[in-house]
Amino acid sequence: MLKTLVAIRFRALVSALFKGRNAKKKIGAGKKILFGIVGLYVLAVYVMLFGMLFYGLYMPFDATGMMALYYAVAAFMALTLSFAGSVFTTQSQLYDANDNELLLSMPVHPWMILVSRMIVLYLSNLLFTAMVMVPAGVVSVIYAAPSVRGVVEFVLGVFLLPLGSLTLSCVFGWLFAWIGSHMRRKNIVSLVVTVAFFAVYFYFISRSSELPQMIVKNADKVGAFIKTAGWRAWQFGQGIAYAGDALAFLRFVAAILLPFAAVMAVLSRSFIGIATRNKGGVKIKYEKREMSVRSVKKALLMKELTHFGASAPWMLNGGIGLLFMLVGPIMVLANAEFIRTIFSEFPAAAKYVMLLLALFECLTMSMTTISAGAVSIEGKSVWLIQSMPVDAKDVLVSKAMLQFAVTLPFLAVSTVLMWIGCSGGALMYAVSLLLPLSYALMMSLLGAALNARLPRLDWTSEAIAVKQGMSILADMGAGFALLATPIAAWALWLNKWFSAEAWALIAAVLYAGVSALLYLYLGRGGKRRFEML
Amino acid sequence: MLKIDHLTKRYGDKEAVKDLSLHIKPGEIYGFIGHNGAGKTTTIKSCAGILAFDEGEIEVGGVSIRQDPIACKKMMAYIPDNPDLYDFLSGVKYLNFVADMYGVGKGEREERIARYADLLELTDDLAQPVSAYSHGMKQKLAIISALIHEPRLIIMDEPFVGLDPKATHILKGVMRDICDKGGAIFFSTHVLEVAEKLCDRVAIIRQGRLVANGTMEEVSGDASLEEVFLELEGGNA
Repeated sequence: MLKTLVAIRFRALVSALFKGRNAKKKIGAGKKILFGIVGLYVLAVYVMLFGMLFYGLYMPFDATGMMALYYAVAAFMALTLSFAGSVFTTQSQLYDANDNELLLSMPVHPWMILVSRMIVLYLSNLLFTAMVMVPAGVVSVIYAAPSVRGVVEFVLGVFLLPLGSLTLSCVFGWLFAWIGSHMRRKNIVSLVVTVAFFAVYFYFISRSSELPQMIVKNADKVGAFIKTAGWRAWQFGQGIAYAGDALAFLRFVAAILLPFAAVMAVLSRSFIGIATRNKGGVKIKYEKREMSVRSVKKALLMKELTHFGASAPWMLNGGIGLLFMLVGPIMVLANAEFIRTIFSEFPAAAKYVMLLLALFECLTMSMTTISAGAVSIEGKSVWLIQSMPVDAKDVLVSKAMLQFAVTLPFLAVSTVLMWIGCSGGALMYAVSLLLPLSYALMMSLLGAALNARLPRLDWTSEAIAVKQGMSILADMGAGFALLATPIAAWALWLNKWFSAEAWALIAAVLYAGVSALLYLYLGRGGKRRFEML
Repeated sequence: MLKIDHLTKRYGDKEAVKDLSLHIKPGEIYGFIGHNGAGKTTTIKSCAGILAFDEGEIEVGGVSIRQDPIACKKMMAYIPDNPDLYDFLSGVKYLNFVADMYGVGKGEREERIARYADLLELTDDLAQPVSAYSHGMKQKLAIISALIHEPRLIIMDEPFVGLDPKATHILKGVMRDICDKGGAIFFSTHVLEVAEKLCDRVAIIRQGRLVANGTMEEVSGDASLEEVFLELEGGNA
């Protein structure tokens, strides 16, 4: 029975990964191979990244007799990555699974349902742990032949560490589910945590080359931090390093197993209650208020904005590019002194900075795919708008305007910061606004047009609608091509005839022209496509 | 009010509906009966203007749904068998959105929402997000949203599924009331007793073809609708 339950969980995971467009369709061998290659590539990138980090750490730590800290850092990173990578999966698999009630109605022991879920969660934690610990272990083997005891304890540690992160995930998953059930905006928790995770991730990626030196330089502080915040990781390091402190390793094992056993005991006792609890959230009593009357176009846009604001996956996947938009001008402001020095030496380059930042804004907008998932996210409720006396063109335009409306505040802040940090002629100020503005409009309309042509309505999770699918890929690809082509044309050829400002103005006019064509398409081909969905 | 003329709809090689003609007049409750996969939902969706058809014509209030779908949709309301509504809106915001789409005035929408929400006992839950609604509550919300612009024609696909007995009774009363005021209702159902008691006329569809239609007397005579249906279906109950 347990085997069947675990097999079902794996099948559900595979289905979520590969299927979506047509759940009945068999996955082709080509698609399996492609996903396999992509999976291996991602895994290889992370393993390389951590390998480089530990390669940089080993020698200095070994030379200063701080190998315990080396292993402690590895264990701490493994715990953190596994926790971050699995906390929401734990929440959805354990506390918010929609098949809990179905399984509980069958002649299956509740503990079996719990264990089947824990096995799958453990394996996903093990994968994250191995991504960190395997490179750390390989690097240490390269430098010094390990003892048998060292290898046994290290391998044991690799298999025990996921239980540590799983314990944390179970506690925080429960906490997030509890907070979610007491909040009106349930998605806010996952949104905040995911954005924080992204911020840490990008910090880590951007500083990956300097990270080993930073850790070595601040070894005392890092050690003190891990000793306090990651006591289990600290004990693991003490137990593994050199001859190893056997007692410390036992403390590590106990610190992993005892909390895990406690969490399992609580979960198995309360699983039926957890699985069948009311997930409806806070009950809001209706109080009669005056109703607002809107025009069809305004009501459609408001509906899109409300939907966007209520969907964390949509905000994250579609709008993450907009957060990056602010990075460029902030960097300029933060390094104003340095930039001024550069400009004083290369005054000819100074006038291009504003344009470069405007192009950077466009680049971030090419990664913004809000409207490219706006038709797909209608999903099963698409009948609603189709049955109403509304022109399908207005529906599609409202989806494009959603992206434009969400982009505008970011563009405004970014442009003002850019104007404060840079200087240029009046024309440069004008084109640094017009170019991104026309590009933003074009990208908003392009996403809606592409999604009308390539919708994906039979999704099981909103993330599939806004993250996967051809329209998202095509939107990003076309957006990048529409940006790169004029830049290449100017760099290679047009600069002989046009100044940078004139070129930017022509590009802005071209983007406005493409926007007009896309608008016309939404009223004809796009409209027909939407009506046929 | 609703005229279906030689409707044919194909999915690839399969003919889901073939040469189907029906005429629903003002004041009539018209029941549409058939086995699973007979073509009821295809016909209903074609009438609601959300499914393109291959041959024939559908007119709502004398207006072709092919030529002027928006004018047709203004006159009618559609309730599907499984109302997937906007989960991200609260009940009242959903109703307000629907009212905006149909251009219902402020006073009228407030009065109608209050009236029908009270009638279907949904008032207390209107501030809740639709995602927190049960199937029956969603069905009630879909019914209120269908009534908000006082349509002349209501097309419903299995409207009683998920409703509690009280709400079912109230809906039947509302349906009769609409038709008494000159409106028309075309709905599909598997509950033959409901069709028998509620409908002025019924149509029976089998494998995409109309096999019987008319008043209850014309279709079933002295027999029950169930007996007639099973006989037409070739059943041996």
